[in-house]
Amino acid sequence: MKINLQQEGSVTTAVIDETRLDASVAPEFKSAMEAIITSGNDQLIIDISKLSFMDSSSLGAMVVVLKKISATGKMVIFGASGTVLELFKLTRMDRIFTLTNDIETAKNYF
Amino acid sequence: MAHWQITIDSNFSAIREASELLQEYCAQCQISPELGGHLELIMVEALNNVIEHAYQGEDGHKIDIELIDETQKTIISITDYSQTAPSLMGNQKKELPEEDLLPEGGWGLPLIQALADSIDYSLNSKNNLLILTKNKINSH
Repeated sequence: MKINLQQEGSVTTAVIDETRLDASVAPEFKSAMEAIITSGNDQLIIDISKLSFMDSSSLGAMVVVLKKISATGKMVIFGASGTVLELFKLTRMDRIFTLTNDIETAKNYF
Repeated sequence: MAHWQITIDSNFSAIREASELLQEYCAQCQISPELGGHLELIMVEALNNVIEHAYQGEDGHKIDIELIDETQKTIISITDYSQTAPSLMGNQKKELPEEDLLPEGGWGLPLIQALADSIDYSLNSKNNLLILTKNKINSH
């Protein structure tokens, strides 16, 4: 799993450099994101704009990450589209996650 | 009518491969990206369910997948060879987990029920056959 980190002030953008997030990589994604948060990156934009597919096990991993960061920081999800965005809506988790398709809007949440 | 068939092992990497093959097949058949995305999500969630529940997370078991694309509908058939009845049985409506409780799972079956237009089963002593139909007109 490739995740590229970009730092701008106190805000970290984790770019998921993958096209698919599914049960075969969800545990790895969860561990990697937890490590990123533990190392002090708790103002976090997760850029999922390259994803064309995501399943519910990956959504569960996203919730774990959200719970971990919520104690001290904040998380915004940038770039969900197509079936990926539909997954958030169908599960009503679009009400829980902060989702945006504009990177400047994402940065303004912090 | 177009037809696609594959047999995979019961592990999540094999589901990923099947999913990628399904995407290629949908593109070849000029199935719309929206319908293709729905078919992919239905298939992946159903296969995840087979591995987690029918095969208890064990790899080394066979799963047959068949897709038939007709003018009005697309049919996905999934056969497993476990002795466990599918958890989708009974056509009982599965409610979404309450989002305010920050659930970490439990969406698979509600997603399949939301996206598929019909869900049918055929059970015998040798296998479980799950048939998921997605209509192309007036679909979700």
